[in-house]
Amino acid sequence: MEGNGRSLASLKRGQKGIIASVDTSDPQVQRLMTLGLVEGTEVELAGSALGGDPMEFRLFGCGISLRQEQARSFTVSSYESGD
Amino acid sequence: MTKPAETRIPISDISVSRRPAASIAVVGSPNSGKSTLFNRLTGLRQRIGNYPGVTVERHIGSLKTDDQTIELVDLPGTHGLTAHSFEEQIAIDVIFGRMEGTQPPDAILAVVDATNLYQGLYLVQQLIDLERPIVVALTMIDAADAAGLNIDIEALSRRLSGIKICSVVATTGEGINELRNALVDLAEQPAPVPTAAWPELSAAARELAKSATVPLRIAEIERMGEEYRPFAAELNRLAKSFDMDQLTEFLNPFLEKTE
Repeated sequence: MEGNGRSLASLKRGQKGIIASVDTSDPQVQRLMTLGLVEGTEVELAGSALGGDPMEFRLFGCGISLRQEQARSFTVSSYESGD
Repeated sequence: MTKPAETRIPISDISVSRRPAASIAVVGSPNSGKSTLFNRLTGLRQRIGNYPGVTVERHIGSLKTDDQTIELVDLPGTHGLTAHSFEEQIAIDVIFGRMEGTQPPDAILAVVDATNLYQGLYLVQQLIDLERPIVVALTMIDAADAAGLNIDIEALSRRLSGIKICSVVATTGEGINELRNALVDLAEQPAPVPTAAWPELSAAARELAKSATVPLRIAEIERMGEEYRPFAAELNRLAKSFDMDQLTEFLNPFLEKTE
């Protein structure tokens, strides 16, 4: 992990983070980028299934579910604990 | 036995099918309400077929106006103009007119779910870049209202090269008449002028395309000779990192040379 960034997959439920960088080597990740998972987007972990996979994120008022593996392609910078 | 009554069909009831005046493609993200809207607009005047060689249904409906028929084509949902699935590929091929046996549409009806603006507007932005007449139908405006979303349609239109935006509720038919009127002469309307995200870069690209005597593919530049290798390597690196500011800065001296 670079700097103070952590993987999107490490967010706790209710926690928000801002996407700082995206590893675009997986073509599926590029698809997710068209859905709004790009640098500067604020995402919140809405919840996850038993075992933590898949995870559901909220962004721009809608929900997107990702596999942990895909979520690891995104680094979030500033994050705060949920309430 | 009585002679059956002679049936006469008044000549005015016989309609001759004409070539549609224009063909409009209905494009939108999955679940944005395309088909509901399509059904609203075309009613029962639909034909369903298949695209050649693939099992994706091809819905064609007609929209009758006073003196002409407009053809509406309902396309599979797509989030953008880059295909990630089979259905998306078909939608994109139809939009670009690459599909066998179909003509590229004369105009585009973009369907955007008001509750999922980000994804819809990403697609609209790409569609505007095609420089074809376009109208946006903002669907589920009632759901957006209920969620407390207040969308400033005029401001949105201004940011989207001034294209017409009609808010509709496809399930109840609210706003459909206004949309229908917008579609009638859409094909004759001027195409929007894309708003460049990076005006300098767009200008640079246009200039380069004008002056380029060799295709600007990096591999080809590489093959042009030893002295071009560093240039190609730098282009490669910039393309990978996709840093627009740097790329513009890098291209600027070359543009000055061409002027």
